[in-house]
Amino acid sequence: MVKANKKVLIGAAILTALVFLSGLAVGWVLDSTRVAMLQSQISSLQNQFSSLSLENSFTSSLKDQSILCTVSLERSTQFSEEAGNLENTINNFQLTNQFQQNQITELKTQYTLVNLQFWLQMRNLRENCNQNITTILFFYNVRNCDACVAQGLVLDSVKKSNPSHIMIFAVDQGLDLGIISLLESTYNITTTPSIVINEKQIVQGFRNETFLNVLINVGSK
Amino acid sequence: MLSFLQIMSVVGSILVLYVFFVYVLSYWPNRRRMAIDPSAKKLPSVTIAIPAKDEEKTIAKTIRTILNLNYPKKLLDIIAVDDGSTDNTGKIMDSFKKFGVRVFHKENGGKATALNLALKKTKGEIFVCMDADSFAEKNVLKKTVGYFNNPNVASVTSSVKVYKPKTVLGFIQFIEYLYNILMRKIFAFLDSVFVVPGAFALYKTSVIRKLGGFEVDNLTEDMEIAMRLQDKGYKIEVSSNAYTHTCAPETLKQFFRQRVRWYQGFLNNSRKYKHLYFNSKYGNLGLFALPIYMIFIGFIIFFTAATLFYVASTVYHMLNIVQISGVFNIPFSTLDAPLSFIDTMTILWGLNIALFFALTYQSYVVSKERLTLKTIPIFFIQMIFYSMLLAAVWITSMFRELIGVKTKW
Repeated sequence: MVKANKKVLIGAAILTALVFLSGLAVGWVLDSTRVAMLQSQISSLQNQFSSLSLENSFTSSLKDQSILCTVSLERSTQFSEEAGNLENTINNFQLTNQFQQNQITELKTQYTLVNLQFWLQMRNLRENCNQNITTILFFYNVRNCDACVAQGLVLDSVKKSNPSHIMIFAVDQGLDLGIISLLESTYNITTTPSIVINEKQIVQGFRNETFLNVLINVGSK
Repeated sequence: MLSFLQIMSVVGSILVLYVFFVYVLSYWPNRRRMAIDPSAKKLPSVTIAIPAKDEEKTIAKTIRTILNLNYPKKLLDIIAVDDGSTDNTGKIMDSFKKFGVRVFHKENGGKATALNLALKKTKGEIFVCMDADSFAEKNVLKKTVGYFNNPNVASVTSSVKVYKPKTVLGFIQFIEYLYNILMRKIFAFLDSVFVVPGAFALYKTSVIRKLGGFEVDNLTEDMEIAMRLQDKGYKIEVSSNAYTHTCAPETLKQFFRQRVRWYQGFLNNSRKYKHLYFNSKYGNLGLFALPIYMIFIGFIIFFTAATLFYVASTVYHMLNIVQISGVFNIPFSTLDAPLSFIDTMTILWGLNIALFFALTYQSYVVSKERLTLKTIPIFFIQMIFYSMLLAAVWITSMFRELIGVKTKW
């Protein structure tokens, strides 16, 4: 009868548990760092949006509306750029985070609400200022949708060709928000990816750059 | 919610960590003992048996290294057995008769039959089995015989290194063999050695005779005899300072053939000695070494399949996206910031890779080899591709064992 070295076997189990838990702890800290970073960025975005709304309210009280249009358009383009970058970060973190998915979803919801308010504001700006601005609502799914990734790439390319006049508002269909359901039913969206250009042209399924450019040009005439 | 693959990944990383710590806890208190081999109270008489079939390229060098051993000649007896060679192996063996080498020619019957013939003719208290493609260092015997001071020790194995590797596959095996030197010594501390490599293995002649010699028709007779010794309660020791150099396969075909034989031999012997598994009567061997080895085989196969699936599915999705969008320069935004791709799984597996590297480094230290920069790319090739190759060998071996295909020597 050979004796098992229980000290070694049990000691190894304890050390394994300690190291494994430390690994999990580091993972948790990283997830928390990501959440904190997003929280701060979204909070900053919310502040910027509030400021932008105030600026719009103020300039709309001025007699010379052309100031409103020039200033707002410039500030909105900048805001749209920042919001777009934040959307990419949120989507990346959503795929990476293992522990704090709920918090990420919550933050994404906050972001989407700001973004959709911004979309409404841009709609008004387009109508009030008679500006050549194209707003695109892009419905997508963050998981298991290659066509959504492809459509996102195409939309990025479309925007690059005319950054100050094309504004893209991405909407994650996975979010449980009343406004998203309302938009879906309003524009009769049944699949991802889907695109709504200037609230008039509705495209369901993937469309290439040439097709979208034609549609945008027709819509803006 | 974790996917099945992620759950398996977590289980796998826990297992790797556990095995690592068993090694560390077994190694650390004994690390000073590792460098010292016990001296023999009285040098025993030794018979070295070299069975060979068609080994004309190496047999002369093998015998010469034995003739040059630093051991009293009057205590040394050398037997060369020509196991029905069709080349000049027999003639080369005969040319060493003038140096006192006893040569026997027989019809081909396999390595075990050649060893049994030598065992019958053995005069020495210690019987050494030596492969005809291996070369012993001068002091290998002196460093190993001292372990027989312990009356319960029935076998001692030297540490095997790959002889002058030429190809990447050879270098990978070189690292693997160094790794095995450390592992085998740790297993000896745990009383769990279940294979005595035939490159240069010492046995107490009386014990091997009592047990009936080597099993004929066994694919890995060195593993079978080790398991039999463990089964009968004998101790197997390892010297990590006594070296033998062996010629490892340099081509994929030779490698595959050799490993299928080894692994099928392991499966075959595991079935034969299944009562050792999870049996506390056999200590660490039954509770740790054998079960963990079997579990690892399963994990190697699973992770290879999973990795291949993951790579294939990623490539498929990328191509799909490129094909749909027509955009070729897909931005890898996740690589922009470390925060975007370092997740818990990455941390756990990064930790495992670091531990594996630490073990390999320690293997180099223990084997008195120099770790050079050239080793680093080979280390990564070994980690990524070699495990896949081993998985393929395991699957083949399992399949052959399952349907009862007999693998030839």
